[in-house]
Amino acid sequence: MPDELERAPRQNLPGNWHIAVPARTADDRALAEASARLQRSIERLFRRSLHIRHVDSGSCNACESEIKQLTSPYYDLHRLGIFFTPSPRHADLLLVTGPVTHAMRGPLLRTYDAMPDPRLVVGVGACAAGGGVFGPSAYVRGGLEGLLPVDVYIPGCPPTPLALIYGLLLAVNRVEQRVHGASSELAIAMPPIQVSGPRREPQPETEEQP
Amino acid sequence: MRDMLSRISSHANVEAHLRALRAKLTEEAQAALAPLFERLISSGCELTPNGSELIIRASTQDGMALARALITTEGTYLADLFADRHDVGPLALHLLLGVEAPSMWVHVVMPAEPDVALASLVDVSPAMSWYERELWEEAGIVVSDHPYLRRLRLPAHWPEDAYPVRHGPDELLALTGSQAEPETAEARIPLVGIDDEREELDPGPEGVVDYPLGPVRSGVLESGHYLIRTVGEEIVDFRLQLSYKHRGIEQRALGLGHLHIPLVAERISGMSGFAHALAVCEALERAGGVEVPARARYLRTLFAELERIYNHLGYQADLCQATGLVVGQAQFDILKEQVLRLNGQLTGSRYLFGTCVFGGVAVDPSSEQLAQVRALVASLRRKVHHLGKMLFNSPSHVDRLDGTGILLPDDARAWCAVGPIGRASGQDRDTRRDHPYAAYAELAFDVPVLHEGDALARARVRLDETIQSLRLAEQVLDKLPSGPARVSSAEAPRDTSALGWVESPRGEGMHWLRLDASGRIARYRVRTASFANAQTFPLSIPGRNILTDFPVIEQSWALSYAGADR
Amino acid sequence: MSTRLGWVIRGLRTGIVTTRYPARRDPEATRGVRTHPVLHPDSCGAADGCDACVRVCLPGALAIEASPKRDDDAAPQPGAALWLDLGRCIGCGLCAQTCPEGAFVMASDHELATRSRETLRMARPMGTSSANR
Repeated sequence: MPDELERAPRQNLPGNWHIAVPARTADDRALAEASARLQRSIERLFRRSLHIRHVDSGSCNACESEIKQLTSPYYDLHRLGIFFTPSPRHADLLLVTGPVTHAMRGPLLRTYDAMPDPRLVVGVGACAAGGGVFGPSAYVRGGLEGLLPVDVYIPGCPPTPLALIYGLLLAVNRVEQRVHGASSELAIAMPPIQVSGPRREPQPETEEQP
Repeated sequence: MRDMLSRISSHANVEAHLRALRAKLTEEAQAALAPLFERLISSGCELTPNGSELIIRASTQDGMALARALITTEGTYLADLFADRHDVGPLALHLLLGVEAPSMWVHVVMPAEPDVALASLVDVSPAMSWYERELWEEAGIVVSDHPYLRRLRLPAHWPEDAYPVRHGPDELLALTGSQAEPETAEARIPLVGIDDEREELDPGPEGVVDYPLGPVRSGVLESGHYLIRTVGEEIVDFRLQLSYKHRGIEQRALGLGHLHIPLVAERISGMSGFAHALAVCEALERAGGVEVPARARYLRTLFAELERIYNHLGYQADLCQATGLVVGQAQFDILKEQVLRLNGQLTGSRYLFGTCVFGGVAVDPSSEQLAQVRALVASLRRKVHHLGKMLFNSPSHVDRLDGTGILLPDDARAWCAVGPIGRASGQDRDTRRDHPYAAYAELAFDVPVLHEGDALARARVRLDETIQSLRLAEQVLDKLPSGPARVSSAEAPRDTSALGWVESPRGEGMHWLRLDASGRIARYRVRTASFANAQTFPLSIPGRNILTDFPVIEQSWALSYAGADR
Repeated sequence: MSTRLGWVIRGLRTGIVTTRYPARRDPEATRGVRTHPVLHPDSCGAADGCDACVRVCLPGALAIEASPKRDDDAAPQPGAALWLDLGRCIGCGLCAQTCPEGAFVMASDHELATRSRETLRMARPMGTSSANR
C-alpha cells in the first residue's frame, strides 16, 4: 500500500475509530513500493475496461442480488467500463461472494487458475472477509484470507451496490481508500431494547479468529 | 376442576382432529388402521393451543403405517421428515404432513434406532427421496429399498460416521478435522446422478452430447451443477447436483438464543430472509405463549409482502434477461430497486435483515414513512399492471415461455411442489391462506392457480401474486392498528419444541426448533421451499425442450440454491 | 461553458469519460441502510468492565483488547480499546440496541472497502484524554 495512504492524518476524524498500523520493516517498505508500482500499472491496464468473473462460493444470495442490481439502470455498471464476463479466461477480476464452502473451494481455485495475469480478486461481504455469520466451521472455510491473494475486501452484509462500485473502483485505483478510521456520515440511531434479566447475557459460541 | 375440564376439552379436541384425519383416508385404509387410531385416541397425542399442530407420538411401526396411508391421501402432503437426537429413544423421527381440510399440521414423532432399517416411503411418495437420504446422512438411520441412498449434502471428504444430528459442533469439528485444509483438491461433491432409479448416466451412443454446466456458471448465478444430455438440439436427459452451498445452518444454530437465531435464519436465503426470520420468531412465540401485539403482526405482514414484491419483480427481470428482453429486464430492475430502497429506509436493511425479532418487529415506521410506503405501493400497482400487460404481449418473450419446461400437475402433486411453482401446476396451496400467521387471517387476498405448468404459467402466477401482494400491503396500511411494535420483555421459551411456517416468496418454509433448559437451541431443522422444489426441477427439463430453452426454464423456476442447500 | 466541457478535458487527459462516481450524489440510494456501529467513547463503560456489546455480537466483530500503536515507532497506548472488525460486522445493530449506556450509533457509510484485511480492524481506545483523540 502506498505510504502516503498509511500516514493519513487521524485527527480530522472526530471522535472515531482509529486504524491499527502494523509494524513495518525495511522489507515491508520495499514491498509497499513494489505494490505501489504494480497498482499503477494495474490502473493503466484496467482503468477503462474491467471484466469481472463472479463466483458464488456459498453465499446466501443477498450479495448476488446486490451484484445483479449493479447492471440495473440505477447503477449502470457499464457506464464505468465494467462488465461481467462468463469466462474466466476473459476476466480481469474475480468477484467472490460467500464464505467458501468445502464443496466450492475446488471450483473457486480452478476459476482463479483459469484467469490470465494480471488479475485481481475482490471479496464481497462479511462472508468473504471472515465467514460472516457462518464463520469458519466444519462446513465452511470462512472467507478468502489465506486462500486467494485478495486485492480488495468490501465489507457489508450485503454491501450495497454503491459500496460494491466503490470497492471495484478501488481495486483499479480509480478512487482513494477512505478507511483509516471510518467517518460516520448519516448516522442512524437504533432504538434501545430491554435486555431482560442480567445485563450480561451468557455469550453464545462465536468463531474467533484462528 | 378447571384444569380437568380443560384437559377433557383439549382431549376432545384431539379426538375430533384425529377423527377428521381418519375420515380423509380411503375406506380400506380406515379399516386397516382402525386399531391404530383407537390407540392414538386413547393416548399419545396433543394439540397445540391454537389447534394448528397435531402432535402424534407413536411407535415406529404405527407411525410408518400412518405415514404410508396419509401421504397418498387426497388433501395431505409431505412437509418434512427429519431426525432428532432427543425425545423417545436414541433418535426420534419426525414426520410433518400438511393437511388441507381441516387445515392443520400433523406431526408424527416416532423412535428410531440408528441400526434398525426403516422401510422407504419412496414407493408411495417420490418426494420422500431426498428427505430419506438426509435422514441417513445426518443421523445414520438406514432406509431400506431406497433407490439411491447416497450422501445428499455433506462434504465428500467427511468420514462415514460424522453424523451432524448425533454430534455437537465441537465433536463434528473433531471428527471431520475441517479446520485444516482438505488434503485433496477434490473436496467437492462427486459429480454423480441424482436420486432416482437410474444412477450415473452411461456415456451415450454417438450423436449424444452431454453438457456439464457449473457450479461456476455464466452470469451472476448461484452455484449448482447440471448435466444436460442432448441429441441434436433436444434435451433427452438431465441431472441436477446441488449441495455446493451447504453451510451447515442447522449446526450453526445450536446454542444460539432468541436474539441471534433470526439473524442466522435470515441468511439461509437472503432474498427470503424476512420470511425465514418470521417463521423462527413465530415458532418461538408459539412455544413461549407470547402474544405478539396486533401492530407487530400487521407490520410483519407488510414487510413479508414487501419482500415478496421485490422477489417477484426481480424474477420477472431475470426471466426477461433469459429471454433476451432487455427492456423488460431494465424496467423490472428499476421497480425492484425502488422496493429495496424503501426497505432500507424503513428498516435499515435493503433485505429486511434484523427486522423480525422475537416478540415483534425491531422498527416501527413513522407516519411519514408509512405514507412513503403507500405512495410506492400505489405507483407499483399501476406500473406492474402496465408492465405486465406489455410483458405478456411481447411475442419474443412469450414465445420462449409458452409450453417450455412443463411440470405436469400430476408430477407436482406426487412430488409435493410448493409455492408459485406448485400453483402454476395446479397445486392450490398457500400457507398464508391455509395456515394463517401474522395478520393474514384478517386480510383478503386471492391465490392465483394455473394448470399448464409451463414457464408462462409460472411467470403469470408470479405476476398475479405481485398484484395480490400490493393489495395486501394496501390493506395493511389501511388497517394498521396502533400500539407497540414489540413485546417489551418476553420470556424466551425453554425446554420445549416449536414449529414455525411461512409462505416465503418461493413457497412454504417449515422451521422446527427444540430448545434446552436454558432456552438455547438444541436442534434446528429447516425445510425451505427450494429444497422441496429442487427435487421436482429435473422433471421439467427433458422432453419437448431444446438446449437453448434451458436458461429460460431455469430462470422460470428461480430456485434458491442457498435455500435448498442450507 | 468551461464547466460543461470540463469532462471533455478530463476525459482527454485521463482517458476515462465516466470519472465521477457516482454521477451525482444520490442520497436516496442508501438512505437509512445500516453498515457499522460508531462508538461515542465518553459513554462507553468498557473501562468499568462492561462487555455487553462484545457478548451480543454474533459474528464476533467486537472485542476489547489492548490499544493499538499509533504508528510504527510509538509506544503502545495505555489502557484497553474496543476493536471493531469491519470485515466481520454484519450491521445488525444488536450492539447499539444492547449497550446499557447507549454509546453506539449505527452509521451508514458505503465507502468502506479496503485493500488489506488488516485495515478493516479498527480500534477505539478507552479512557484516553481528549488530547489523544
